[in-house]
Amino acid sequence: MKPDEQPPEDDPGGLRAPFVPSEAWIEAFDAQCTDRTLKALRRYAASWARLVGGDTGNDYGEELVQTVLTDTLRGVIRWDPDVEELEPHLIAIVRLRARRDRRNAARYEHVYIDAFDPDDSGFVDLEAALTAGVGGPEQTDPLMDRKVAELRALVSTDPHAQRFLDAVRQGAITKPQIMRLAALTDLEFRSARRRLARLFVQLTPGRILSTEEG
Amino acid sequence: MKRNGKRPSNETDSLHPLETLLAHVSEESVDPVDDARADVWACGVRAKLDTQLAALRRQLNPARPTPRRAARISDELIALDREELLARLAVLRKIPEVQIAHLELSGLTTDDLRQLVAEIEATERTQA
Repeated sequence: MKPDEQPPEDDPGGLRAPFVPSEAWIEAFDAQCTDRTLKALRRYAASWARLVGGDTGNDYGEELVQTVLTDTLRGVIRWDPDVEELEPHLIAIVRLRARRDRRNAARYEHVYIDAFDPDDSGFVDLEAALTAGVGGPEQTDPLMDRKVAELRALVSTDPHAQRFLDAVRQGAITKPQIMRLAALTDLEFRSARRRLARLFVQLTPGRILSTEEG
Repeated sequence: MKRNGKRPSNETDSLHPLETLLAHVSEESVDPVDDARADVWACGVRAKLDTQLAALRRQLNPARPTPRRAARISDELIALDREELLARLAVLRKIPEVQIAHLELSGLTTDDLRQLVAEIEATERTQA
């Protein structure tokens, strides 16, 4: 693979200098891209597949992760190891692309998600994309709101999972924030997370329910 | 994680609660069968990455051409003195394929001449 085989997506004329990673960059990628990171990314992307649509499941998740890794190595997506660890960077890209796929799937209901070009991310500079609000946020998505409500109903008999979910709905993002807002111990947090993970898998696979379905 | 005073990308993003939840539940492995498949998959991806990283490293440090080993000087050539070496070189120069860049052979030491003859003869043997 040559990093300069093709110009980056936002540079069709090839005006941007080809990406030639430094020795330090390569070493950082090599060290941080562990099996554990890969499997975490795969699980994350596979979870997104449940929101994206069709019976894409693991295939979608695996392909998405592979594409994000390759694009990072090619410099199509810029990663600065001095600014950020690799895993959160990759997670953010997976999220952006999965959001795009979910929106495309909702817009073109009868088109298989595989028909969308995985390289056509539209999000090359992650920082710029996020700052400009491209690809997100999803804070007011009614369909996703309803999915959260479905989960909330499913955990009605589990006070820890319920408080976990409520904390997230109130804006808690990190584990410490959720633990603090939900008043959960570490053990309770992990137990609630596990319960929610099982329920999430049990949720109707495939695209998040459309308005017609609800 | 914030480094060098810069804000990492994931801190600038706004998340729907379901996205936040999704990030947390993804940390849990709930399907042993899928875990086994994930192991195999990760192994394959890592192998591909190793190949790609090796290519990037080669790009940074292109392999230097292996220095050509000097032709071995035979005992026969070692036994020849300067005049005999010049005579042998004169014979070799009559071969059409042989071109000698050194116009002033007088500037070469006897050892240089010996090496020159050895190189030409080794090349001749290779091409024969």
